[in-house]
Amino acid sequence: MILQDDFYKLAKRLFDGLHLNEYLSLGIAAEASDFVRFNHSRVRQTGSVEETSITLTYLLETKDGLRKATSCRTITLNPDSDLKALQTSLDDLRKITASLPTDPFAERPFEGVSSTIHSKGQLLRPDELGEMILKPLQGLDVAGLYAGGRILRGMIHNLGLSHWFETETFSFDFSLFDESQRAVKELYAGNSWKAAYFQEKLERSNKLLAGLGKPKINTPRGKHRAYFAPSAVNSILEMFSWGALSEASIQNGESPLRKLREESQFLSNKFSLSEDFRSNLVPRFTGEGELAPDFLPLISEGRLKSTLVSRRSAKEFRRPSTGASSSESLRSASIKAGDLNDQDAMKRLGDGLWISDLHYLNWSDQPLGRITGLTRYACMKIENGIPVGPLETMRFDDTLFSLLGDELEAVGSKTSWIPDTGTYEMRALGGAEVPGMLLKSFNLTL
Amino acid sequence: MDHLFALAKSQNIEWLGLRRVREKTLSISVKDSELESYSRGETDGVFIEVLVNGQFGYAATSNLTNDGLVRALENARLRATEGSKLKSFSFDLSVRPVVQKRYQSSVLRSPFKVEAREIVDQMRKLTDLMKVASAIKRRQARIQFVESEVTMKSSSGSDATQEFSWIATNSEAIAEKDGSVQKRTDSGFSARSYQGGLELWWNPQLEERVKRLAEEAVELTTAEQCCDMTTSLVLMPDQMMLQIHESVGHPLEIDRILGDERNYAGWSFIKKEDFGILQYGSPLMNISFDPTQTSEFASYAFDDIGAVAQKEFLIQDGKLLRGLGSLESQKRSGLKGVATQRASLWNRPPIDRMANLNMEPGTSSRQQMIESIESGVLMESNRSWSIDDYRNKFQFGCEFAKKIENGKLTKTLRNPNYRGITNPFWRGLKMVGDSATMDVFGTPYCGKGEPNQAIRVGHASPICLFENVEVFGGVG
Repeated sequence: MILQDDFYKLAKRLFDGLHLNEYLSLGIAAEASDFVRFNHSRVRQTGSVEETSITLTYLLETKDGLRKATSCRTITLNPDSDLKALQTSLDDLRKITASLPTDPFAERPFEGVSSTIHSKGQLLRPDELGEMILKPLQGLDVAGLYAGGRILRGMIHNLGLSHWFETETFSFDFSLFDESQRAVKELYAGNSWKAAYFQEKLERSNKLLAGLGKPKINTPRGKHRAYFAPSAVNSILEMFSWGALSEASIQNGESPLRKLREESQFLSNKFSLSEDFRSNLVPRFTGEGELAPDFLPLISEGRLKSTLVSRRSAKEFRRPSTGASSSESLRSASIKAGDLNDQDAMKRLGDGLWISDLHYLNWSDQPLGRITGLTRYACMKIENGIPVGPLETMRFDDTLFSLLGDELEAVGSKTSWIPDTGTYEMRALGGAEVPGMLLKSFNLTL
Repeated sequence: MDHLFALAKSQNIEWLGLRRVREKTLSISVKDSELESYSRGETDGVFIEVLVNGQFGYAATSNLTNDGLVRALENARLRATEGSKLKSFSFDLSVRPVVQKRYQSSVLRSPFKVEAREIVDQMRKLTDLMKVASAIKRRQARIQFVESEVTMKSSSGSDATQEFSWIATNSEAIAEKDGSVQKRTDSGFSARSYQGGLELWWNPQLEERVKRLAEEAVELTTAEQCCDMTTSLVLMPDQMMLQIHESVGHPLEIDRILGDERNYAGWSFIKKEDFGILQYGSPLMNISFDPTQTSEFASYAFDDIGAVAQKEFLIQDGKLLRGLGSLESQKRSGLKGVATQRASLWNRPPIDRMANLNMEPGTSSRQQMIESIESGVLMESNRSWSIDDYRNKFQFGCEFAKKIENGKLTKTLRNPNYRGITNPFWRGLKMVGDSATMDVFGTPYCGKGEPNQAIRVGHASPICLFENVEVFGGVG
């Protein structure tokens, strides 16, 4: 993988040819990853991916304003040919940008404090994967993906600001099945594989699966008391990144949180949400090089305190930037813990539904905050605080204002870090710190 | 890269395949008549795959230096060797056929040969056309062009190239009146996705469509909520695409039936023994896998393992005949399949995917269909989709609906949704539109697989009428 200094040298050679009315920023994204896909506790597909791409963001200052275009390309890691290719991309950008209309919301690069984070891990070697992962799985029915390796994100612009974030991590995201297709979801992630901890996780999951070994229970449509485990809460939280906390979405009317801004509706005073980068597990900088605050309260005790405002939105909507990325989605979210002792959660639930995981959520009416989705994995019916059997898959349709509003009875006293294991295009960075939640009602519809 | 074949031979590697993908992308977004973003992309990498002891292993790399390629070959060999010790299936070369073919999308006007400003100005004009009322809050036009060259070579003699040109476009308007917010797009987000060039985007119909969608967004803000009832439901082709995709395409993927996808998107209610027996839908239901349609988004001559693509019926007269299973899945399951093992790019392994999955036309005209309904709802343009992990319980929402009363389309309805269970829903298929009602759509965002991949799929369908469907509206 490219070294930090080599990337900066490459950038500086491109900066050397810039004119006074030109600005150039280089972003880099790279990974060297192992992927092993399992089915029935055996290897289905196995391989590695090594990829480095550089994005040039070019700005041309003219009498009428700024003109802007970007170009992204993979590089081969041959310094001479990469420089030549990037120079060609820059020349193309110059030609194209001169002909484009001005961009009223483009921003010049800015000066600031640079940052560097290198985080080393102790990852499994490819020849250890069989021994360390597959052997403990024998006799079980497991499907899933091991992904591990080095990930880097960085940027530098011609005014000198630079950021570098490099980390070595792994995730083993898997599901354990019994003969009747009942299943339990598990995730082991970190930067150093610990065999004993993995074994412990596996045993716990296996025990939970065995506990599901009763006939599935059909639950009637309608409202039910429910406990959401952290994974289920995380699924709801992800909806906040889909056109809810984004300032642009609030401005164009699509976001349900506009009602919070207008103070015509509130969430529960037990619900507080923030962006929290203090763990350094996620880069704080954006593609433009802006650093998000270490800690940014977004919703405090049910009231909107801030939104995710990118530099572009800041200029367009005349609001202060909050260091959000251009997609204005959560990168390191944290829901504040409450006072519900997790050990007592089932007892507090009494009669109701234990929701371990949710599946395939989507807005069914976005401006009104209505969400639909399904139950999945180890969801159970609880009577008198005791599990009586696994639930048949049920569909729900409910609103954020209900789930996190009037119907939110208590928030768990402990939070769990749930990393983003997404691998579209590249392995994702990010995740969320979430507690469980006890709900007075949860609306099942099919 | 040809030297890798000699190197593989010297290392006693049973089989080596190289799939190099060079892809150029141009993405433009215009919002409220201002250029929001103009970006280009180029990616170039190779997927190196080897077969060792019945196990495939891969190493994908953008490091195209000699050292990078040699290291990647070694990585692939090491993964295959290690994986073979606990492989899920022992493969042989029958699942990597020799292919020597050429394919090229039909393109009249490549966007890469047109001045950037010309396309941007046309997009600005589109957003200008959407300025139909003061209630319009936001107007947006997005476009993405991709030119991709895929070359495949193998130690067994494959030497083949496919050159694709794809265009995916979206136009949308958001309107607000008295606190009611409604969005209307040009047949659903990026549903106008085709194989070809600019000729498939800019035409007089496009101008008419964007004006109409803006007017409909405004109309929807004051329209009645969709009623809650069990009734006759007419789905337009731009919603049928989603219905086919989620409740026919995904459950018929054989790798999914075999459990590969269980940890991610889920399993399938379909079992191996259902093929040739299960009455999936009413006798009017005919679904084909057809990668041979010019201009449809996911056409190709062969898949990413070299299997030659041809049209096949998956469901005929409502009966399930064949699955979406590649040569690998066919070997593992013993079922009949299609040429469908595809990857999103050079950096992902190919898996079973839909290509163009189409509903074949029936015999009813649109007028006959509407006139046959005493009371019902017509819905168009998908805006919400969700289905369970076995592909049974679904709930879909549309942007726009019309009430049908006594054989006529009457009031516009907002927030239309419907829900159902896959087989009972398809068995309620009562009328299928004729070829005059057909329309073709696609999406670049079909997600599946671990590691995740988003791939292009196409769907063509006539208008269809379903009986006894639970439809409902929004709240408030």
